[in-house]
Amino acid sequence: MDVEYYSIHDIIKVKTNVKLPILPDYFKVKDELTTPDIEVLVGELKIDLPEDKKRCGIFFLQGRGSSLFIDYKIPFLDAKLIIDDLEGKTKIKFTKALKKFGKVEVLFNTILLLKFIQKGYALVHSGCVNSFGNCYLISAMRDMGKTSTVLSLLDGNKFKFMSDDLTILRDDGKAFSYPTKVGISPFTLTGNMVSYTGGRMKKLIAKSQLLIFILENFLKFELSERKEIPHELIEDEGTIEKVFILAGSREKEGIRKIDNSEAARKILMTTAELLDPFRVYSLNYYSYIFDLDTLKLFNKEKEIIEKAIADAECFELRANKVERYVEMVKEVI
Amino acid sequence: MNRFYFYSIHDIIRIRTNVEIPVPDYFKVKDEYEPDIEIIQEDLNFDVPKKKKKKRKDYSVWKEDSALLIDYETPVLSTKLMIEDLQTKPKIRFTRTYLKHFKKHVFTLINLILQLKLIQKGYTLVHSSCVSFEDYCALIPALGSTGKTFTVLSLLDGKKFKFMSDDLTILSREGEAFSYPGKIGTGPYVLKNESIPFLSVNPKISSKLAKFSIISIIFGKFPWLYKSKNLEMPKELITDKAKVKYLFLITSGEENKATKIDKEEAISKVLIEHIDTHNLFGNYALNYYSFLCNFDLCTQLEEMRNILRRGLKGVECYELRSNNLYKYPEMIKEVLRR
Repeated sequence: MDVEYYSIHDIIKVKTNVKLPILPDYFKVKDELTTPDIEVLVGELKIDLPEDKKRCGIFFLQGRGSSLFIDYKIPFLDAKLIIDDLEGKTKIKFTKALKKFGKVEVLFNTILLLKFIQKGYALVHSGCVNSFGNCYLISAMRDMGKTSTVLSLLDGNKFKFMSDDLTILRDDGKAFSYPTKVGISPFTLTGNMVSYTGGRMKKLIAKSQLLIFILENFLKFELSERKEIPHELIEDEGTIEKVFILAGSREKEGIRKIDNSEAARKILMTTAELLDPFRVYSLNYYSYIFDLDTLKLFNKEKEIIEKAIADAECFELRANKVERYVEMVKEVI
Repeated sequence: MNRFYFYSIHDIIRIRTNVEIPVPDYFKVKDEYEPDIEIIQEDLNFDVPKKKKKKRKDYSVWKEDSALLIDYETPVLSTKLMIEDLQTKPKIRFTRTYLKHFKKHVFTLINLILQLKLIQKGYTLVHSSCVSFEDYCALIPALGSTGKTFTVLSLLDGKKFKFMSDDLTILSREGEAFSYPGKIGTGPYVLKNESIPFLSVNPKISSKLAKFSIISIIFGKFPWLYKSKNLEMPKELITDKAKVKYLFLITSGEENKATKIDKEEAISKVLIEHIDTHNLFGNYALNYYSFLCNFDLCTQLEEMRNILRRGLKGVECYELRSNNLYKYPEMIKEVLRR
């Protein structure tokens, strides 16, 4: 792949020659960016760790200058990784073999999260819609109805799209769009602006849980599709007015006003589940060797979220049906 | 299956269970105490709330009163999990099928809940081995499989040096370490212990094979091939409790020297290497519990750091930098001689 450049609201610039699913095409820029904040490059790496280097479990590692070197030393497979300067202009370099087996995407996701925090922003696991400059955050755990709620609210007029999965928050109460492709299945509520185009066959398949299970697990079948939201439906930034936490329910449905600190806690929790700062072992090794305080950054993320939603009203929505979330959000607004 | 077992971890935490759990047998007791944590396998008869709309997900998860419920809605078999009351007396319940299919999840969950309960009481688990000498002890944390067990087993002599733990140690706010003696799996290295011959390890084949990384990778996938011995430490060689005097971080380097390091730096390193193997966010059920039942998981790491700060107050911290496994015990002995 050729080298591509991304500029995320001018906050973070990325240079890469690898496909990174977390980066929305929306941020792609044509011009070459000279000083990217994160560089992700696959290619040949000429590093040789001496034979007597220390082995950690199944790989060899060494800290040299500001870089962490990891070499798996597998015969016939050239699997190497370099992580350089996490606190400045970060560079991640690796070989083809590592790209194939090394979960580079997850490594990048975590570095992106940390980079945002270093710059004073929080990338959080929340959907967001924008109504004339007012932002409504919609936060929940995975598969609890964020996408359905966001898409059903869109009308291209009163409500515009900012994101359905990740949103950037700043401590002065501003939110910024992060329009990744939206994952839509026949079960997603989509409203009028975007719709499922999987065809009748897929809709029929969707009626049987068993069939989905068999097809998806054994036959590389993908029921859901990833759709780009039309750019005219996207709004770039706004002020956070209200926060909605989708909480599911068994019996009682209803809207409950909650403390801002409680809402911040929940946003942080669901973000930690999706973008866990401690999940990637190569980063943990980096933190260990170069004394990078990941926990401090994590605490700072909490602080940014708390400040960002300090002036917003926060609600917890309980409902058994996803449709009800949409009605409740509209009711509150 | 109705037989209950009781564990008492140094009288700090008591557990009641009817299944095998990842807690050392060393803590098994006959007396039936009032437990702090209950871990129970039983038939669970709750049902998923009625929904008109099907959802694309492997499982349903929801909150009921103060409990988190997870149901995989599998036909015929019942695959369910329930977590209750983490703030007070945690209860984990699951069905037989859940345990069978998600044993790893259940074990992670148990370890994490144990850690949370310890933190509540002013203690913390540390991913570290520990050896006692006279009335004191030394913590030896390290990343991954880099030589904790080797170092401890080499040091033991049954007189001056006694065993406390090889993988996890409990540390109190007051600076005391408590033993946590699980079964010890030794790696593919040659170890000679002249004072206690049965601790010696000499895996002729695997120690040679382990020099090739491809073999290590295969072994890594099948740990049971890798572990050459599964030792149970005899009770007379174990010290239960001692004041922590030293902290030795095992790491790579060419110096072959024990270097004194800053306390805060040492604490960050202990923390990150603990999280690397025992990630607080590593269990989906606990994450859901935290989100839905309003339990503040995110601040627990800072709590752990505070306990480490207080517990390691008077402790001298060293980094053992070497690429040679056999140097670590020597370096420790040298520091103790000073």
